[in-house]
Amino acid sequence: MSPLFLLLLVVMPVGFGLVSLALPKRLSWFLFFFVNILVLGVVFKLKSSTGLTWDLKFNLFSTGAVSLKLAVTHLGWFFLAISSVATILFSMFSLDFNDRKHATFAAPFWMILIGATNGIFLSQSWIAFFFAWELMSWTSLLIIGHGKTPSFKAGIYYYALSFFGTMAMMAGIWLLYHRTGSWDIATTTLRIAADFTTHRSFAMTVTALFAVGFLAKSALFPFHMWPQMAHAEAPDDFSAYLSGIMIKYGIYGLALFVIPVFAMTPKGTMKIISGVPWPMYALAWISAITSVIGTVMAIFTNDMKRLMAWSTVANVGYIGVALSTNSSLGYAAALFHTANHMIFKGSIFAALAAVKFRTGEREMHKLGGLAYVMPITFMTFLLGIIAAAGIPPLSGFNSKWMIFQALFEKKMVFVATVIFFSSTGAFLYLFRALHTVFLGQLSPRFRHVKEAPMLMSFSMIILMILMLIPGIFPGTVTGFFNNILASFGFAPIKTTLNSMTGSTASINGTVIAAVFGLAVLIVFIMFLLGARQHKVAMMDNYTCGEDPEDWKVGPERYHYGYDFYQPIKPLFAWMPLGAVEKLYETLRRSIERFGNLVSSISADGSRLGWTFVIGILIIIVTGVMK
Amino acid sequence: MKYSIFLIVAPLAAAFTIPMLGTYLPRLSKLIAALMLLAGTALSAWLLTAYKAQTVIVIGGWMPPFGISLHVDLLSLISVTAVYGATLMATLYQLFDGQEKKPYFYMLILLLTAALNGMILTGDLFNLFVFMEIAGISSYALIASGNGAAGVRGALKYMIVASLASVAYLAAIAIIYSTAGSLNMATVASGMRDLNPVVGALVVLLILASVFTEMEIFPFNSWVPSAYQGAPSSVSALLSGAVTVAAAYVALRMSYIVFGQGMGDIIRYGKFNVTNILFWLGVITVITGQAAAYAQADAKKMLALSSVAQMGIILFAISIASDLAIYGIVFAVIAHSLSKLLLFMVTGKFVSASGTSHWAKWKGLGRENPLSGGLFLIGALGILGIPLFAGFWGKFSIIGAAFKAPGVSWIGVYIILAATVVEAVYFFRLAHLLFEEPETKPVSIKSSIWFRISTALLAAAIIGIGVYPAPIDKKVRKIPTELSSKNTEGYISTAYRAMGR
Repeated sequence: MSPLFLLLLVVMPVGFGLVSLALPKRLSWFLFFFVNILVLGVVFKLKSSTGLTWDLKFNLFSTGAVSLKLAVTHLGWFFLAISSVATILFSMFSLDFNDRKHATFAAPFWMILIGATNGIFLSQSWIAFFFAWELMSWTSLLIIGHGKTPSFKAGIYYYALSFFGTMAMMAGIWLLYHRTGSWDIATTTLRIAADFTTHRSFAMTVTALFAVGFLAKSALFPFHMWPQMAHAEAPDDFSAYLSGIMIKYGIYGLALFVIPVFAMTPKGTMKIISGVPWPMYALAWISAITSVIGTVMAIFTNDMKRLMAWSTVANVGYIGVALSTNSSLGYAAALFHTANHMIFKGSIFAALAAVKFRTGEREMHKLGGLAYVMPITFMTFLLGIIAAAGIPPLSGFNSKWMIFQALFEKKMVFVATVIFFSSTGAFLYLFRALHTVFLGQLSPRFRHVKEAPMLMSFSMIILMILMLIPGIFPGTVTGFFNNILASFGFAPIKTTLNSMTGSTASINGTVIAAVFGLAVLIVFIMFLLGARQHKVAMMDNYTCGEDPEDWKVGPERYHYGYDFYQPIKPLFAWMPLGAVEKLYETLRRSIERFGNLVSSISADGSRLGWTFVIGILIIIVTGVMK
Repeated sequence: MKYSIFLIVAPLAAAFTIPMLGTYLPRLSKLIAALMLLAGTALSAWLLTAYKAQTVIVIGGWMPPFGISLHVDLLSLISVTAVYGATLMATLYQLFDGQEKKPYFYMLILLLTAALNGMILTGDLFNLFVFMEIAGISSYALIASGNGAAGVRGALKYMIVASLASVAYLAAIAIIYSTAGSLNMATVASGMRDLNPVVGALVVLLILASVFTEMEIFPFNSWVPSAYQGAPSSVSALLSGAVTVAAAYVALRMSYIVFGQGMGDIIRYGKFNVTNILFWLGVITVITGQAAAYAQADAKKMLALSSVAQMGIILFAISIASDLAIYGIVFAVIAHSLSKLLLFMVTGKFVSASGTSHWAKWKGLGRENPLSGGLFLIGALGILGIPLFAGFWGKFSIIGAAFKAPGVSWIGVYIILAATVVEAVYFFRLAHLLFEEPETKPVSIKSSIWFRISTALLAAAIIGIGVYPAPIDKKVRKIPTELSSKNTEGYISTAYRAMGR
């Protein structure tokens, strides 16, 4: 294999993107699909060429050679593979989604974004990584904004947090470089791990700076609030990509740098809590808090896209917890859940996009009964939430099982309890969404709604299959892990095509699937044999003889899905939810106020002389200051 | 190198022809101005490519320290080229896309160019004062030439602050002359060490106050928002693209050569620490500039305050005084000049098309005029220091330099990085607003072919430097050696050699 293929993976989508800026919208969407086919082809051609390296060194600054190094690693290839499989399905979906009525100008930027994504997963030098990272950030901002004022408000919130993380990362990269004299990711990881014994505070600072960058991108606490804005307001077909793939960049970064650093740190250099170094234990709690916030917020959200965005936050929390166990089982569980979440959250958002495509609604209580008119979309959503809730025989069960196994192995019972709470909470919001949107009574408004167009349905069907396969045969995904684990010095995990072994037990996905299949069959037969149904029209409600119009209550308020969990809301009143958001808002407002104050100095001409005097005073003060 | 004198004299001479010609042949005089700037750009670019080693050019046979000499080195040639290029762009923009101006306008532009180049090239402190005054006076008039009351207001504000600054500067050189007996920069540099520390500190204080006024450093920058807003867009572009280049250069030369003896050797005057001043004022300027720009509703003021913040970063980098910091400064100054020119040119179009400089009213302008909107985005990305755009290398190496430097400069880095987030927000806010769905159909922009060519060139330069920085890098590599005192190629040694000492 020529190393130029690596460059091609980055440059080709970017190039196509730039070209398609000048093309008509519809044509650019076709090009987008085409590019993804090419990318997928190249990625799978690279499957067995681990270690293939493309490097461009050029002299810059007095510091010596700057290298833009791309290489195929086990971890990088795994992320590339899952993301390009998911992307091609999303792009097939987008092809039909962006019809004359719905088309956005996102395709060119999305192509550039795909190039950047490939760049992130291929980079082996921090400079290349940073280039790809920034390219990804601002193109995604433009896609999320897509020319709509509210969308951009959400997008800039995301971008500000993400850019803050990026700046922290830039500082980290320089600190690493000054210490090690290398831009190489693998080399610096080793060096910084060794530095924990000799230069503890330096190593902690660097790791923390990188962690801020990755936490911000993955929406872990305290950056957990941006998905609910950005994922909700982004173009509907892009939300799938955003929630499926983009949220994983931070996870990739943690798995690439932060976790290996702590795994390689010599024993005895750091305080150990519950079998993991204390920063990892802190990460565990950060992630656990993230998942609780995500879950509770999702329960009380009425906007279906926003609800699923909160669910993504909760799931990223699980992944973070798995990573923080600092063990091969936890690392594998995190990768497994990453892959599964990519597909199941992708399919959930795809199904929601299909619903929005046909109905134009996002508020759940305005929908209902869509299963009758959109069966494929319904099935996709159903399987998606089953996977998300971690019910066998779908993929989510296996990865969640592995996460719990990893926690038990390290005896992190408190964290496990919290995760168990949010995992249970997931049932509350997921099945509520299913019920409110797809089951119940079909509103007369939507009686004539059709199933999603062909390509959208087709890609959803493939997504369903992809959710089933890792559930029944976990080995199709876990089989890749041992190479990755070995490359970071972790012990291998035991897994075959249809079984996995954890710390306390082992499970066989195929057997579980068979049992479940049987159970479903029995229930279905009982359903067929059961009593006849009586269908009720949506407006056929009992209102005690009162006319609701008198209280200005419209038909949508009859919907049982409206404020469904109001009764249990007081239970969570003690939680300081939204405190971080308030803090950020205060910060933003203080910057604005400070800016106004500064501007007001120069607004009045009579103050000009004084500013000069003050300036001289400032010079004197700073001059004599130590 | 002996042609370097023409970089100053030629625009000055051309400026004097305009009042005579302009009365009878206004078109010819405008042509002369444009051709002069084109020739100047070509000459400075040629000198830059032909550059071998730094030289001192003695004028009129009067040897320094008594006569005035020009000091040509790599950094000054790069700055001069940037000034010429920026002036040429701004002038073409005014000629083909701005309001009709009288020939005197172009005379002022030529005067300003001559003065800025003089500020950069001169090796004499009094000469510098003269050029600063010429630059100041021509900018007041240029600012006042636009937008009626707003222009006059801006010009007046600038004039008040700049007059205070020039008084301070004059006082400083009076003290220097009475003690050191010379105003040649290299001679003064060695004399400053022997000064009474209190007197030395006073001199530094007064000179810095005036240089900071030109360089838009807080709180000496109170004139900036009104002046940029009131000035015609071409003049705003000039202030941001050319004047700041010269001001940053002067600040650098003062700090490294006059207050110390070469780069990395900024001396202390008793308890008075110059590095500290540069560092903290740089940081304060970044914070105030970015916050004020964020709160700003007027696009031209916003861009002006963003220039302020960029100058703060550059001053911060000057305080670090290492090789890497010098790279950063050169890249940052060039990138800032290119991007701001582009931004002001496009903004000028938006202002004249929409009739307002309140950016909130520009919703959808980019949809109607995708080319202008795209150019604005490129300019914004260039300023922000996003990789693959020109600003990146500057910001990246300044941050690297600060982390490498001993002491507390890392505090400044974190502050600057945090302020950059604010900068990103206000630039993307406006860049995206241009593409948002408007309530009413936005106006379309008419632009001349020159506008398209020059903005395309600027955008290409921004992306070109971002993707392939090697050509500039190759040039910049020699600058730290030339500024240092410790080796024979350094500034002061060269100056002494010219004096025959």
